Amino acid sequence: MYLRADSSKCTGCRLCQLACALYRFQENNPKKSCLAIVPDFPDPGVFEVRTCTQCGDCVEVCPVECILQNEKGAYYIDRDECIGCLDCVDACPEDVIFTHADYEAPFECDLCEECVHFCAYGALYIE
Amino acid sequence: MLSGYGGQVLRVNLTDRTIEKTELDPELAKDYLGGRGFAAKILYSEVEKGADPLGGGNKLIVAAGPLSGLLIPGAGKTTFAAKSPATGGYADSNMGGLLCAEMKYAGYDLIIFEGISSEPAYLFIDDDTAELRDAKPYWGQGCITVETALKKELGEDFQIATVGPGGENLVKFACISHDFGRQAGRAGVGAVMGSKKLKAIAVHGTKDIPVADMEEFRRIGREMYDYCRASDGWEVWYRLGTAGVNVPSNEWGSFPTRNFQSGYFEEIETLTGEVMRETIVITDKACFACPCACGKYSYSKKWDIHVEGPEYETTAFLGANVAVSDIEDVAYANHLCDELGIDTISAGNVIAFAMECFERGIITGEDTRGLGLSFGDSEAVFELIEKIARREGIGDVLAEGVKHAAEVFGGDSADFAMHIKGLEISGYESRNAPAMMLAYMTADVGGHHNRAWAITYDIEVGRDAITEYKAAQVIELQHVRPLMDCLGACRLQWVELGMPLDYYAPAMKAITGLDRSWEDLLHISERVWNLTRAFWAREVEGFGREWDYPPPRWYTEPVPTGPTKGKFVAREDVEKLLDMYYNQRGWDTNGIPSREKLEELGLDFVAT
Amino acid sequence: MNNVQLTLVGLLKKCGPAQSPLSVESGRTVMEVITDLGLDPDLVAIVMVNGRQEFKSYRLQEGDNVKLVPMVGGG
Repeated sequence: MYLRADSSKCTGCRLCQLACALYRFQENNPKKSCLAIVPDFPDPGVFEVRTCTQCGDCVEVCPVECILQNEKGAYYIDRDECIGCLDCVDACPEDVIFTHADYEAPFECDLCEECVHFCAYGALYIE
Repeated sequence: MLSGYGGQVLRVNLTDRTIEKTELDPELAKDYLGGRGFAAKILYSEVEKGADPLGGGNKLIVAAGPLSGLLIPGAGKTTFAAKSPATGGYADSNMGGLLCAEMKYAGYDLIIFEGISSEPAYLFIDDDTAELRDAKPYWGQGCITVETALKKELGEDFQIATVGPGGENLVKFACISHDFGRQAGRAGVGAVMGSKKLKAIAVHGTKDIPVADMEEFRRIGREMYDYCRASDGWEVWYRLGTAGVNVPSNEWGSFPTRNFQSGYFEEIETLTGEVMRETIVITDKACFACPCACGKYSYSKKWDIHVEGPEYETTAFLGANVAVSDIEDVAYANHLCDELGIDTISAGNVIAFAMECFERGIITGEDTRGLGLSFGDSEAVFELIEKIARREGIGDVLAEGVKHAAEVFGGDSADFAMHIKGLEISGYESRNAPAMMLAYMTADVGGHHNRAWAITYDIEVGRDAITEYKAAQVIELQHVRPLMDCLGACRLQWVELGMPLDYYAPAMKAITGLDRSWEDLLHISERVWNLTRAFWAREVEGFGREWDYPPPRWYTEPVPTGPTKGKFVAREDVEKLLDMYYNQRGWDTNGIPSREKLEELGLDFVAT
Repeated sequence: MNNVQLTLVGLLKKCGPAQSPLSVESGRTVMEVITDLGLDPDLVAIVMVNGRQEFKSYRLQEGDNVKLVPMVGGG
């Protein structure tokens, strides 16, 4: 199971990021979301959506092996075991492991699917 | 922490280069909500009577609302406000995009700019850091250029608002630009920003916005979102955006054509939203948290430019009103205005006025330094936009607005200078729509439609009717629509998709923790409406009924052609509408709020 | 032949025939159909045919899918 994105449908509304942070952290704070929306304006004038493809590169580099898999098959960082080295953040080819000043451990998508519901444009889907 | 708010106010004194941070007053939040509410209260209380709008005594207000930045459809509307250099009265203009959301994530609901900077500066905000930085390298550059450069320098996550040469040169209809195509366009708020040598605002925030009842807020937000997405009109709105209105407006005879000579443009076929979609639109672009992206980001091959739009208003003014029928030419003119930082509505209004004066021989090639100004000449439109922004030649006169241009050009041109209170009328030719005309006459920034779009009621009860009902509907719209400007969210989910207004009071309760009904919220909006009226009465010498009149074209000149041929609203009907309106509002026959009305609304501090 | 499907959106549902969507004849213009249904043309703001905006002069073709959208509140 993977969260996929069709960037051509993205409008930059950030509802996905709002929904993600609300579900994950119970906060109104897109900076705590687990997917990236990257605008490229004024030219060409498009949005790029980057989601976790469950490639596992983060698992490979983690020095304390604290990146596990949940029941949906999504990789997640065990925040109690994480030492905050951020090697996973550097290793991620999609740049979708995120950090925030509030936490020592980074965070990544756990396939909760809230963003899929809140994308009115069909840019996000589970495959 | 105040639920639903960032919690802090930034007061930036540009003269002293000091920044003061204070806690947002809960009483202000309770009594005025946010956005335009904050703006009206602060401008009335803090700007000294008689202040020069382009001087150090004016204040530029930037305000988010309690809904801004939350998962509520369209929660991205920022209000900019000041005493207007165009009209001398109250000005606010709101802008879509993401700025107000980012302000709240940084912890701020309100920024108040005072004084004038000795050198071009920009305000840099990154969570708790707020400082003025040197903007000399950016001074003179266009809005799109500067936004691109600042995002490159500071980071893509920074939200930027900027003025262009228009604002720097104090064009009376200069706008403030954001997100590569959203503007706070009306009544010269961009000129106020430029007069303070404030080039830009750059904001980044990483904090949470607290809400009182998280579960209830999430439930309501989700329902609002689901309603929008499932609505019948979603597909249409998403496909066409505001450009979907081009065709019906033309059919109603309300599409301003050739300086509002008529309301029907014969060459509409090449200016439709469908033509736009099929030829130039490349990306659907949304404002913050919006499930019905109306932004149509476009690329014109003909001119090799990108632009957000053209929107309905821009197609009306840089298309039909100047008789330009090529959508790519409209797009190019739009792009010029966006980069130079001038309002497309006022620009197209003033340019069309100049064209009519030229065609009538009121101005000649001598006045225009050889530039021919005929309706339909898109090159003339492009050139005038540049001249206006840079105040060159005749551009220097036009940059003062259509009211002033008529005074300079003379003849009988004041009869067809299409402004109310000194603000150029926006995109609905209203001689066959008295309710709409009343809406324009009484809008509290001058001739603008965003307070009340009342054509619905002209259609509902008959075009010719001059009734208490029409006045009542205009008044109700003037409470509902600006309420959204206080809340910091977009009204179009309700206006275009029919999302029920019933959601807003429960949403506000869940967010702020304060139990208020929809009527309670409308009462606040009525308070703000009367406060801005009081501001006009205080600031404009002799303000009253006379200032609510439309231009003579609208009450003396029957429409010559098209579906509304022969229509106009007679002066006596204009007077009747005003009488009914003032009476229903509890204002005297000169249109000034009565003492009782002011007290009823908690506006005891307003002097009579 | 009633081979055009027509949907009334929003408040138009209350103004037209009770049933929506309904089938109408091809070969007529949208304006003619609006008049036949007893709708005020002023109320029909946007006409969508097969997902694209058309003028009221558009002549309906077999198999067309039409949506009539009112203008509730403008801009």
